Amino acid sequence: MSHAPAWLIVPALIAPAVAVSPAYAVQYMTTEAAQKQLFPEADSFVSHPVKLTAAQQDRVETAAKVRMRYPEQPVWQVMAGGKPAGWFVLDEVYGKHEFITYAVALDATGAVRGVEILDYRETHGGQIRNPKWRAQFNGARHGTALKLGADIQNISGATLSCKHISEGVRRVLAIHEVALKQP
Amino acid sequence: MTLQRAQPWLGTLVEIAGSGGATDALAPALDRAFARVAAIHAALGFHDPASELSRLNRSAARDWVALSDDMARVLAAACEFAAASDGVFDPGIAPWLVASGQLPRHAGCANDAAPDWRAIELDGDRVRFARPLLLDLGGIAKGYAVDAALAVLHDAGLANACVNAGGDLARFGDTAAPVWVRHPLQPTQRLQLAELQNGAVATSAGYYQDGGSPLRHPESGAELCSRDSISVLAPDCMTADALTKIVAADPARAPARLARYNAQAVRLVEISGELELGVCDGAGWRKVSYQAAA
Repeated sequence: MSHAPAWLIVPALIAPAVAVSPAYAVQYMTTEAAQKQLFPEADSFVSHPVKLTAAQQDRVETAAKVRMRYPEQPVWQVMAGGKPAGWFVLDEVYGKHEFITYAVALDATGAVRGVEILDYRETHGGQIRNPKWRAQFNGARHGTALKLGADIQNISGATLSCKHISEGVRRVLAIHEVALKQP
Repeated sequence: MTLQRAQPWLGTLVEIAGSGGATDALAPALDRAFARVAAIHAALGFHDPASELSRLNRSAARDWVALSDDMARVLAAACEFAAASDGVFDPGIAPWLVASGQLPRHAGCANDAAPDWRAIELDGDRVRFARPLLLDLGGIAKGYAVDAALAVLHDAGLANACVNAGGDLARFGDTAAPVWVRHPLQPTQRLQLAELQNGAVATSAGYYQDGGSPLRHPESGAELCSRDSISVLAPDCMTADALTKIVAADPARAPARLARYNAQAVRLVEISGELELGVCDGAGWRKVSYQAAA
């Protein structure tokens, strides 16, 4: 790869983004686009939201070793060639700085077939734990394009852990075991 | 048309963006680039007891172990960086990270072995350890995966592409684009580091790490980068990734080591409320003044 020796350097301190907006936000794809990406062979996606009973929620938390914040989970059954081909599960996780909406594709046996990030946003502080702050993005994941700056890509930094997504996928697998698995 | 997707791999979020080239080639190219990252994750990952790396950690002290192409390349590079840095970079420091709980403890591995990269006997596509070792390729595998994914996009004929594995990034394109680095103490704030057309940036810092920085000084085992950040700009991301650790551990000898790889480093450190920037290339370290944006 060619290498421009004069690439550096004009560092300039950039003022932080306005406090009420996420420091960095990107919408990678809509729910519909993620469905097509993860199950290109599907004919249809049948909405099949899961609402766990308290007993089921306990079982999920025990199996996944993570706490469930909401007993409800948006889920679609995937149909291909007239047969069930798997499940499409929408989920969201948040950490200290980041709030991530993502989708998990499970095949007909319940094995993870893919994980795709839909939305990623970060902020300076406590906003992420505020349900009202999170709620303002609920429309976004269903297709509203977010207005994004073009100059906020290419951010280098220490590795952001995907621990919360790993935990989320574990929880989704436990939900499948408890509430989706076909007998 | 630009496509931008992200998936969790390598313990972080991997974002791949591309544009240009034949329209119908773009989406398949991103699919193949993610598949390449997934394959490297499966082979080089420490966490999975079934990965190629874990098999090597269990067996290579007893006998020769055959290596995949990816493993052979990354191990050769790890040994080269170790030699070039007189052991400041050492892929054998995994026992320290197992002891601190930052890496899992696998059965049948030398979890308490002393680091010693010189005990890695690499012979083309096979390897053995002269004495028990526990290797972790976390110091360069991310950079290697970024380069490999970017090569897929380049071969697919894209005009612009960027692969960013949780902060280790490389790009190529027909125009230069700004790259940013996170503020070491307020990681949701950014500073513009440089304009980059073809090349890579990697950053090491302690933020985002629960339980301390994973960077360790190779002789003392002391944590590095707990209050500052080191970014390295280099022609490829594996080199940038490895050099961040080498520069962090031994800043005084960084100039010659950076020059050898045609790389430059930027150190950000907050000293009594003021952010200080130090820039280093073959000529040495120098302080850079910066302007706060209006």
